[in-house]
Amino acid sequence: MKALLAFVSLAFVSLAIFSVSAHAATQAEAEAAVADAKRAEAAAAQYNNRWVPAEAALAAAEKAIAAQAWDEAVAQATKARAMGLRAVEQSKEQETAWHDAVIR
Amino acid sequence: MASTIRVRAQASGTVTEVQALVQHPMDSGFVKDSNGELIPAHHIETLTFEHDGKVVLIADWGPAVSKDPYIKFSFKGGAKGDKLTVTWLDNLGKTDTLDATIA
Amino acid sequence: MLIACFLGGAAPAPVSSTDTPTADQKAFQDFFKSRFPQVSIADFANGPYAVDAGMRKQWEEIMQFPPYDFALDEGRTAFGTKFANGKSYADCFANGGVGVRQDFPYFDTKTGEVVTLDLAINRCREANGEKPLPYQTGMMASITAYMAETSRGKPFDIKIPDDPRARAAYESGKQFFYSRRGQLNFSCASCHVGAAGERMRADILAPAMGILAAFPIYRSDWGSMGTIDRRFTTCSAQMRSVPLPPQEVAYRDLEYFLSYMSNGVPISGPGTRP
Repeated sequence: MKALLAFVSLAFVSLAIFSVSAHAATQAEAEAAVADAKRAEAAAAQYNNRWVPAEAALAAAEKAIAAQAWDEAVAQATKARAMGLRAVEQSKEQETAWHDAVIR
Repeated sequence: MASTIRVRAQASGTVTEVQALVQHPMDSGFVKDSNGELIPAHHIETLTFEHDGKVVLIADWGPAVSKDPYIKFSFKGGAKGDKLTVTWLDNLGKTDTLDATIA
Repeated sequence: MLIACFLGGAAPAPVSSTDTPTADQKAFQDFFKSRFPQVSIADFANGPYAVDAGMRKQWEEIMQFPPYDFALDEGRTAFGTKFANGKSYADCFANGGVGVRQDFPYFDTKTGEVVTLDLAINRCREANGEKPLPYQTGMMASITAYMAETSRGKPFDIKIPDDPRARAAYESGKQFFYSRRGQLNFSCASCHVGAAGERMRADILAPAMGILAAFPIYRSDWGSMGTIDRRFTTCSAQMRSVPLPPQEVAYRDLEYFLSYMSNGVPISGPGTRP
């Protein structure tokens, strides 16, 4: 009984800690996340290097905004932004790295 | 309008080898278009080869056969100059036929 | 320059006087000749069939009745049909458009851009009051199929005029070819140089040398005809890189580079591929 009580209170405390750090996203946060993702994708587009899954995630984020699913929108937009930034990195690296691949 | 059937038939000894390419969409009826609408089934149901008044081959085709199908087979008989008639009929009732000469 | 070299060469490799298109082309062709010594220069036009015996056997069977036959006939008829204004395609091309495919793409010094055969066809149409054709398949593939057929066997003869813009277009195409892109982080070279002749799933990767010679192609995978543009866009998508619009400058420059690298390889189009 004592063990069970201890377990339950530990679980309760853990739950409390986690619920404090993971709050539901707001509309403003969701829209900001999508705007960030769009900026990252626009940067990738400058290099003609938008990634297909990044575009898919961005589309999913915009769909989630339309459905007022703010958490989903943030999740998808975060993914899209990360990929957009990585694509820009990839293109910048390749601006010099491509020379190494040339058949000489 | 050009025929949808191309045939090449070659007599060699007692056997004639036939090859045919048929232009047909062979839509299975299971594929959707870019709007998400099902493309209706439109495929050949029978393909018949006739020589000297006899049917030498009937192919019973359906949705599993791909677009613009190609067939190759041999039959006993046939000589250079003989006529070979190829006819197809599809599930929408459309048809085409071609008379070819065995080489 | 010298100091940069001492510092570990972190700076990009300078375009030296020996780094010319001619030198590139020789190195490129020498690479593929030594990699595939049993393949003649003409056979490089046959892509996977030149480097895999099993595929070649299937190809010879399918070529008894080329699946591109219907498109070729359609293209022959369309090419010979006059526009509404009485002119025809023949008026837009040298030699009436017969036997000219091996000269495309070319660098147009008047407009300062690379002109592909497909682009030239649509410019011809628009100059004569006709609507342009979509680039990837259909009638565009049929007409280019006919024009390619009239050049069958003629070796690629791409020129880079003594013009810095032409050189820049060539360099841009070269950079595109060797640059990794997309989520899968592949470059064209990853598959068609590094892994040429190897399998990627069930396909055999064609060597980059001569890879455009057979276009437009009837690809069994597509169940229809496809132009160079169709292949560039689907390839990009396969690398999970968003495809560029048809005849985008980057794609035309890429075609320019690849075609120049294949000078001497004969036109084998229209073709058929798995």
